[in-house]
Amino acid sequence: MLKSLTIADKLLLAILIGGTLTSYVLVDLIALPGATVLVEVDRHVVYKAALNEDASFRVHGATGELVVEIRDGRVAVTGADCPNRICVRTGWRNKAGDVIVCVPNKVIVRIAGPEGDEVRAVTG
Amino acid sequence: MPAIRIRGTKRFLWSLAVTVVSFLLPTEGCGPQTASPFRRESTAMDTFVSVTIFERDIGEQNASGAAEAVFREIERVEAAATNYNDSSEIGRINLHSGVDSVRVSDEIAGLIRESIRYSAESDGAFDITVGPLVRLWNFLADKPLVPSDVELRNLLHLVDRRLVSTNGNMIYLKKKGMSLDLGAIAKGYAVDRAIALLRQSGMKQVIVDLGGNLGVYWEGTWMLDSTRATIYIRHPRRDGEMFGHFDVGTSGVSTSGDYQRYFIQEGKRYHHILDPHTGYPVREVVSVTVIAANAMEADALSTTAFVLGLEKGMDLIETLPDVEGLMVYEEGDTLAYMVSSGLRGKFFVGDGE
Repeated sequence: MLKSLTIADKLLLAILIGGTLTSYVLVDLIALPGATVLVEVDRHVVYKAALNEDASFRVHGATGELVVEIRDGRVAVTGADCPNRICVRTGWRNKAGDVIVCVPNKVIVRIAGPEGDEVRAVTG
Repeated sequence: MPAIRIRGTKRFLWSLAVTVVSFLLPTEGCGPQTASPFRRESTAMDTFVSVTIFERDIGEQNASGAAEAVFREIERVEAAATNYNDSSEIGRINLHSGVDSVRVSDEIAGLIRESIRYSAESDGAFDITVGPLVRLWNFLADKPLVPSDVELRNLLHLVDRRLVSTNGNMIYLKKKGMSLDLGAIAKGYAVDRAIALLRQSGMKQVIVDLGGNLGVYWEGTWMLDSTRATIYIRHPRRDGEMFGHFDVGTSGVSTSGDYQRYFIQEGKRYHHILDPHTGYPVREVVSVTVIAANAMEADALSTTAFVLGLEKGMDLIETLPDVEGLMVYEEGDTLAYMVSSGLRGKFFVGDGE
């Protein structure tokens, strides 16, 4: 089948394939800085901040207070008065789709942004 | 084979097809409607819950409504099944232990009967009468402590599935002080309810995650190159890392691990998966992941296999139809793992990146 293509056909194909590959790379480069940190308390968004701008703020949760920090393109809960402090132990997160959860406070810190096409979930 | 020469209209159609396909490839990843799957998170049943809808044409409002309905459904199951509240259905059964039978809904009666079946089939490795033990250990406390051996042993006579009487919807715990704890099955059940709701509203590609209890519903279509979901297993000893991954279609997946709820006392790890026969955490394996037809089965079986240990647990997984599993255990200073026959060659170590 390839034999039936003229040089012009092949050139067109090469351009199209090259363009495709380039756009795949470009999409990532353009999309990543747009990531946003969303903080929800009991499913209501209470804070919205850019992941690439350093910030620190207090969040009033269902049972207490948390401190959320954004630094160097990463986000973490750095302080909390909940019992297990699982949210603090989760540490720094930087990928779109990453989530930090404080169950007793009903607080979810989420990085919203393009996650790519992979269909994935985590168990354990 | 002779080269096939394509001419005329056919030639034109081929060129057109190549062009069209070439243009479709890049847009699949960057069009506004294909940027990300729709996801909503919340907290329920002492853990976090997420609903992800992968269909791209569902519309923000429909997806949002469906997710809200799921959260309400999970909260409904929690309200009926929790044992932290004396007025829940399970709470009332516990409150009347040794005194009276209590009438419960078809749903809770069904869950209790299912639980007793798992219990009988595993010779008590799975047991919802562990309530008194769970309360004594109190892993959700600020600073949990190992209870005294005497205290523990004094409770063991209250842990026995044969002391639960079920007569239709009338449930009776035969000894005072007994208490049911559906912690090893209710989350899986709630996930199945959530998936059923999403299916009813016409969703075809969804994942519900309730603290690592996953429900996957996946009707494959030719439009998506991956007609299966990739499931990552959290690394039991390294925070934020993945132990490995495998692909699934419609199914339930659950993991029971010694790292999920635990504390360290005098250098020893005490975790929340208790052996109903001894009252102490089971020490044979690190984690068990089970893939089953639904999330409730996966939830119950991951706990059961964990308590049974490496050999008996894997035997159980192998004997059940449509059930696969993976067990992680310590070998000296490192972690080793074993997979069931159906998962051989399909499980990959690491995060795949």
